[in-house]
Amino acid sequence: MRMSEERVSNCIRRGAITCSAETSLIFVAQIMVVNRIRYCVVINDNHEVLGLISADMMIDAFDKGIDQMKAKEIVSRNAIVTVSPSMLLTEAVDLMVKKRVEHIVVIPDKPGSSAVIGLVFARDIVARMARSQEQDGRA
Amino acid sequence: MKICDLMHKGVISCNIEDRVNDVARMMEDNLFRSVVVVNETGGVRGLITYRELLPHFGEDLAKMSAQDIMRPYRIEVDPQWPVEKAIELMKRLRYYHLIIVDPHVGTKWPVGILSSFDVVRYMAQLEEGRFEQMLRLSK
Repeated sequence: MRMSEERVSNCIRRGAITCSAETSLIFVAQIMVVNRIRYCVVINDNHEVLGLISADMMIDAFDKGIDQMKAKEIVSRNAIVTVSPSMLLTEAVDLMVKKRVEHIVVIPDKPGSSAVIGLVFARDIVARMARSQEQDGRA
Repeated sequence: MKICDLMHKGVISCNIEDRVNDVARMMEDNLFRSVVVVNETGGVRGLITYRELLPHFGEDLAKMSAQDIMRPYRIEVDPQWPVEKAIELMKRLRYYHLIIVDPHVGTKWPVGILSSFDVVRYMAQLEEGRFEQMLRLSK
């Protein structure tokens, strides 16, 4: 399949590591380190997405008294990019570039439902870029 | 804590003339998120991370050289600096990967990378050997 026709659904990693809005930032950092990930999705009691905390956002929050801070204080709706599985992958990558994020959250198409399906990682996109060149070379 | 205690020691580097598809492959094969671009004498010229690669999704990477897409890098970070100074720099410049250079040689050779994830490790306040302890607790 050509890269330009690919949908987000082909590039999802299902499942997401989550925390609640009341989780302390120290614990969020520990979740990242222990799971070796650079993000944590913040959800509410109904499993709806409130936002995403990336390692970069943790840097921006540093020295504002990180010991006492909770996830809800640095998470904002603006910092999260959500897409539906049927979106074109190129559009999703454009969003990534525009919003300067390395993770996008995939939620279902149906309105009213925002439980996380999974995430699209910048790393998988770069892997595709590296592999697609190889295929072109063979052709 | 000093930067040298926290940084990732050793970097993957490429030449300014290298093709971007090779750089993407380099990242993919080594599971590195950043490649340091160096000149003929091994001095730091720039940095390529996922952020620099993503805008070129779908383009012909073999026609571009590392120099075309890299983020030029002029700051010099010493491994002996305290971590807080590095965090300050990251926040101010919005560079989430700092290249650490050897201060003892004439040409500034890259010796390591300090990424936002390394700083998150510092925030998590987990001592060496505590990962296993935490994993046991979560079972």
